[in-house]
Amino acid sequence: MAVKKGAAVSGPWRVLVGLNYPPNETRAEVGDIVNDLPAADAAWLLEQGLIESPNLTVEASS
Amino acid sequence: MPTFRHGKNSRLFISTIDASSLFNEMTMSHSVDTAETTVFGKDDRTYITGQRDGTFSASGFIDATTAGTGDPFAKLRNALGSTSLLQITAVPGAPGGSTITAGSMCHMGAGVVTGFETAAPAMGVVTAKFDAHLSDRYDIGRILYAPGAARNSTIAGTAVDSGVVAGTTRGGASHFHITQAGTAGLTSVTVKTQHSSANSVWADVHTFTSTSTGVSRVASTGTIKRYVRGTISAVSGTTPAVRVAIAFARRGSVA
Repeated sequence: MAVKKGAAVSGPWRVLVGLNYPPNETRAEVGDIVNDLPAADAAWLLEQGLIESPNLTVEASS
Repeated sequence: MPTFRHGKNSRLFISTIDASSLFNEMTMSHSVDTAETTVFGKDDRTYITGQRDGTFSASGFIDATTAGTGDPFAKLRNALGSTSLLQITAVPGAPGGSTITAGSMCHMGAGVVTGFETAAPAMGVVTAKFDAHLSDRYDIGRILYAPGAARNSTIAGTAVDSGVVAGTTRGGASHFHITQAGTAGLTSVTVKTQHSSANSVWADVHTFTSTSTGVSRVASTGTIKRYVRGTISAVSGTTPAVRVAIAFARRGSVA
């Protein structure tokens, strides 16, 4: 299953680059699976290839 | 209304040295080669640009109180003829005093030392001067974190806003200077630059881990989102009092 770029999606996410996120500067390292990333940030993180869905791949919108 | 800066608070980091208390003048020059393209029939000369270039020079006073590995000028003297480059982060008129305000403009490069000069006037202070020719990119960036006091715990620096909502697309370079590691030894410290789209979730850009004083210059391509910041983490050791300066330069038209 693929997700269109920019589509509203939710976790869990596999972290591909180390991240800090609220609350309390939670730290996620490469390979971690996280459920609590702020939804508003998921889009840019996906677009930059910094996170991915453990079950989904992202394709560019046509 | 412009905000002018006095030069008195300028700061200078050279390799693992916070050289701010040794120098009293520095000059950062950026230039570009030009090749003439004037052809027959032209009344005015025309040019195209070639490679960028840069030089750095600083002058101040010899510190004769320390010797051996503690001699802050040893790195500069020893760099003459060395294949190693000296990493330089210069902050002209640094606002904030001993703790440089995050977002202060700085010049960032790694240079070949081309001269080291000492002068001893009969009626004056013994002075020192050194010159460097920057090798590869001479960036103009922003200080992300440079506190006046040493730290022994994790901290996330203040976010620096580029003002570019979509971020910049030509990558960037980070400078890390660990100028103090603690009197009884540092086991490890990790320093990072991070970027963020909305000052909320922060993604690592560049990382430097060290077990002592150290220096690192890292560059990469790709998108850098609107905000950047510096962090210190994983500080361990008996008395890990680390003093760190972190700077980042966006590449492209936004510093």
